[in-house]
Amino acid sequence: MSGHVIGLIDEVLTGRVLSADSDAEFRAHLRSCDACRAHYDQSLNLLRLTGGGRAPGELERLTIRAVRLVKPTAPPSVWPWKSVLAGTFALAAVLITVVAWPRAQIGVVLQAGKGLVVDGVAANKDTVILEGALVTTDKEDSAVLLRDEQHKRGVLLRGNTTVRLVSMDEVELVSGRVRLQVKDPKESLVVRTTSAGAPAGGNESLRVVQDTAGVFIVEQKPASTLVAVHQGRVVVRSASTSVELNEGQEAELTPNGGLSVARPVAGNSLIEDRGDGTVWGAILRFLRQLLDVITKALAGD
Amino acid sequence: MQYFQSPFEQEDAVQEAFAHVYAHLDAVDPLRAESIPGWVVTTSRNRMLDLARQKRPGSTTVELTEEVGGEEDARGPEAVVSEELKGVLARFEEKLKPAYRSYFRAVFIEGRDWEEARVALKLSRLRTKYLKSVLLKLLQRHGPLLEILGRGRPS
Repeated sequence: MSGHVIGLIDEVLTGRVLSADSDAEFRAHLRSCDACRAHYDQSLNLLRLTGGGRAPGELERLTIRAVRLVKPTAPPSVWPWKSVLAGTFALAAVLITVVAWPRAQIGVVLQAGKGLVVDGVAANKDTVILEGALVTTDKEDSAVLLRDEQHKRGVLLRGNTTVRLVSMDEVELVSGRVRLQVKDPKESLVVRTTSAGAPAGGNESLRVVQDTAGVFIVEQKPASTLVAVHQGRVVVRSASTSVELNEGQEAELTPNGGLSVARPVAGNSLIEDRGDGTVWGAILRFLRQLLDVITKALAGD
Repeated sequence: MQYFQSPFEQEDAVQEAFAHVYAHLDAVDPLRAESIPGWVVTTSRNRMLDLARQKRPGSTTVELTEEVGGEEDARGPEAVVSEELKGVLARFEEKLKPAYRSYFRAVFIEGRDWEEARVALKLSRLRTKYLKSVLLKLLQRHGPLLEILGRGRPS
């Protein structure tokens, strides 16, 4: 990059996204060119001043740069035809589903992580959950509140989890990990899991019934399914046997269908703040914390 | 942030610190979430100190952790937002052509993001590219704003 890049600086500060290579080159130039760096600083200060502490788009710009640093991706195309196409298909699917098969509302999305999808459509906070909805999370956690006139149930979906919310009283865990919380049970809550690799609604491998107030988790692992109770009591049934779990106990279903006896929970069975178990999940958490720190610092807190 | 005065240096240091954290993830057990925030903060702070020492070899840690200048100087330009600034922005907005005014208002008065404002006003990307360029240039040449900025900047 030779000569001054005043025009490019203005574009970057007002939202232009550079590719990873171009961004590296751009920043290398700024490090070595006092005039361009001074223009960058002055323009950014000016935008922060007029933008009430943070320049418009500043957080997004820093986020994109930080994410690229660890996970390089191509810059977004000018015409997002893939998104438009996918959106059209998704909309058509939703319309067909809603028109052809009216369903009752059983809850709402309480907290939407990035990449939350309900019945094939990207969902946000307060998205309505209909009977039989298939809910999928990406890397981030999401929370759903199942409710009717009489009672409420909280479902925390960890990253990379798929569940079918069959009804107020029945949840089918397809993959991943869920944490369920019931305050005042009027009816039993049932969580079903299906055999590994089976389609949603396929053969049931495990049935967890909770008829007391409390909190428990169900997790589909690659080679087993884990049920752990944080508070209250549940009954776990496999095809051949059943076991009652009380507070602080867990049981595991192995691939051959065998259900372990109730045992004290392992060290991290009930810990939810552990990311999705992957390094990338941990990185995203770091990034959020860092960006929070940056945002507060930029806001002068 | 307090180790670097220039916004560019601050951003660069954050990026370096993040890259450093990422490069040393092997040292972290993702299952021990409780120790992660402290580790990130400590590692980032140490990396920023290293960078600050590289930029100013004669400085010591103690000097670097102190704000340069008094409390007023350390507040940064964002703290200068005041009635005076609102007045300057209002007069700046009044002088704008109607075609520029709505975009300016959406971003700087209503606080929308550039892209969000573009969508809300149903503007094309090409048009907003032009508007952003014009608005930024006008702001950069607006004397009263530069005066406030000059007063609010750390010495």
